[in-house]
Amino acid sequence: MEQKKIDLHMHSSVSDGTDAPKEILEKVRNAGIGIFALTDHDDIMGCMMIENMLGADDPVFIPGVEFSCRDEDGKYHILGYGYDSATRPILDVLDEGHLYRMDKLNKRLDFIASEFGFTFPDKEVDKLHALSSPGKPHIANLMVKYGYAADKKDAIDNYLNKKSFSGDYVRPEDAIKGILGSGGIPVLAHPAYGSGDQLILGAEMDARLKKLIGFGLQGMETFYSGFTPKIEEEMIGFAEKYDLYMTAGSDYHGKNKLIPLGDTNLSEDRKWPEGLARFIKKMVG
Amino acid sequence: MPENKDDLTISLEGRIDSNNASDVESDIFSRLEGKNASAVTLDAGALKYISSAGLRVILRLKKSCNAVKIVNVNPDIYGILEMTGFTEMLPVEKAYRNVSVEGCEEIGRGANGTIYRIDQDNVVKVYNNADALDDIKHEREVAKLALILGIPTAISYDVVKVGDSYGSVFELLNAKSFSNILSNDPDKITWCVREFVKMLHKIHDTEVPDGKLPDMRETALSWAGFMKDYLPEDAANKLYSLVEAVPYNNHMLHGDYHTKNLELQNDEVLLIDMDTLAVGHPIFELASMFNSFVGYSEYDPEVIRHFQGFDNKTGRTFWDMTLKEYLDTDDETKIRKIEDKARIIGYTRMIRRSIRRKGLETEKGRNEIELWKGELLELLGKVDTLLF
Repeated sequence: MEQKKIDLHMHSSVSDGTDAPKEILEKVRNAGIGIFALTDHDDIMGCMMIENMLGADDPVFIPGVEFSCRDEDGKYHILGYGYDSATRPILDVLDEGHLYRMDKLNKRLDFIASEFGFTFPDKEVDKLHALSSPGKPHIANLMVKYGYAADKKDAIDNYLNKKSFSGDYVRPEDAIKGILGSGGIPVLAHPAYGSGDQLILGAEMDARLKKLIGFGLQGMETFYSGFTPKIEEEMIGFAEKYDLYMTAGSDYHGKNKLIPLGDTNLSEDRKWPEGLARFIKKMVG
Repeated sequence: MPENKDDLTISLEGRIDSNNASDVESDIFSRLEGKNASAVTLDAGALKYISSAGLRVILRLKKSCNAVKIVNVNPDIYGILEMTGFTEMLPVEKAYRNVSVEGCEEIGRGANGTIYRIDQDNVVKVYNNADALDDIKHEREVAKLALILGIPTAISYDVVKVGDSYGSVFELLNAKSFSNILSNDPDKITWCVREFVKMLHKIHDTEVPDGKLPDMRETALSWAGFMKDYLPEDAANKLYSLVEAVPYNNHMLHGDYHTKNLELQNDEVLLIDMDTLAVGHPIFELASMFNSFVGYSEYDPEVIRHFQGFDNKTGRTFWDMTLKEYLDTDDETKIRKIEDKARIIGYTRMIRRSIRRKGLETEKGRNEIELWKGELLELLGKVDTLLF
């Protein structure tokens, strides 16, 4: 297909972005992006909302998701694209993740109740449970609201971070199998950065990829707002070595991070590498 | 780039990771807001750790403000910036480790610096010039060139701060200088001469690609030019034309070849102190060698003991044996003739050096210069070519 501006990695307020899905769609339209995907953490509700809002002249939309995974070797963010959201395999992974997060939420609430005596009315706790990805920021907001902390930073630094809850995580093989089982394509997000804060290159990256490909991984996010040209080149080398799909994403989070929408480092006049062209063809036709 | 009043220096401190990267980023961008900063300097002097979330802050800064540089970067963080390609995208300046040479053994002293042993495996060359970063770069480049051309030498692996000066650090495992060997074990003189000359031939047999090293003849011409103010006109003109008549030669010269600059490391002989590397006719090398072993201590015999650790008698013997071995002859007349040629350049160099170091202002300096000048004038009367 004809090359267009693309951004296949962004977050709405359904997870930790600041723009509602509707605002995301408007911003994508204004940014001149031709193909986009919404990839909220462990949630596909925003994608369902956008699918219902799309008009005939709108940019091409690919439903996406970003699973936070962990195993003995480390943390991974695994993107899933083009899945059928009405089928069980991906929904099972989402449910599993939700269960783990709720468990962690309850442990956190128990901890600040027993350690500092911070308690909240039932309706507030119910509201937390109703959120799809409640985490430290949401509890922190409540602590500020009920006067337990001066501000969000105080709540997190001085109370919530006093104990870490490793909890259970979705394993990468389960996320990959769930995406594949629902007809989607599993792609490793910002590979060189692990789950966002690591630096994985060279032999370590190679070992990681071999393992994930063994589970069924099919693509790598080779173009990423946070990559330097050197890292990008290395990631492209790996994708070519293992004949993987390539994707391009900004990781836009609205006001929460200062990443501009559409910034994937893939310049518009650059011919799409074969792995990216193949991915777009597979997703869009 | 000229300093602009709106240019900004921002200090990075402690750890930058996913816990605080967005705060650091907001802070940086809020300081940029409303300013028309054309250049931002990130001072990483107090930065202990940066994760990839922190690296992305720098990347976004670079995307919004083209002229970003990072200074005072510690070695670990420099490694990360290098591995991730930041060093290719923007200027990154290392922080220099502080090293003290107090109480360290001085193992060498050359025209541009002094070499100290800082521990069993490492030596540091402290440069005389306070702003020596260019000199250090030069020495690294020429040492690499020499190594590529087959001369065994040590290449510096780190640049450090030594007081107000810079130093470059070399690995020199259990090494002993030839001066040290000669001082402690005078019986080894024959072996030392043989190895010393072997290395000298190796240097002088090495052809250097054009333009890679300075031409010693040019340098010697500038010395001869300098002497015009201090010699009778005839003598000065003769000196200049003798140097001028030496043809261009593309073979390597060390430029400061003496026994403190040759090291025995295990069983390997290594040449050090490479910053004076040049190309030219070997007569220029012999001149500087004559000075090291004989010339500098002709007036004051203690000079050589202070410099090399052995006495002037050993220096003289070492020089005579070296010259004989180097020229591969027992013909004393021939040896003395070539020595005379070397002495012409040698005295010229010493007189100029002493005058530039205010030698004429002390009695000792004046006496030395008088002695050397007398020898030089006598030699100019009898030598008609520097070639051999």
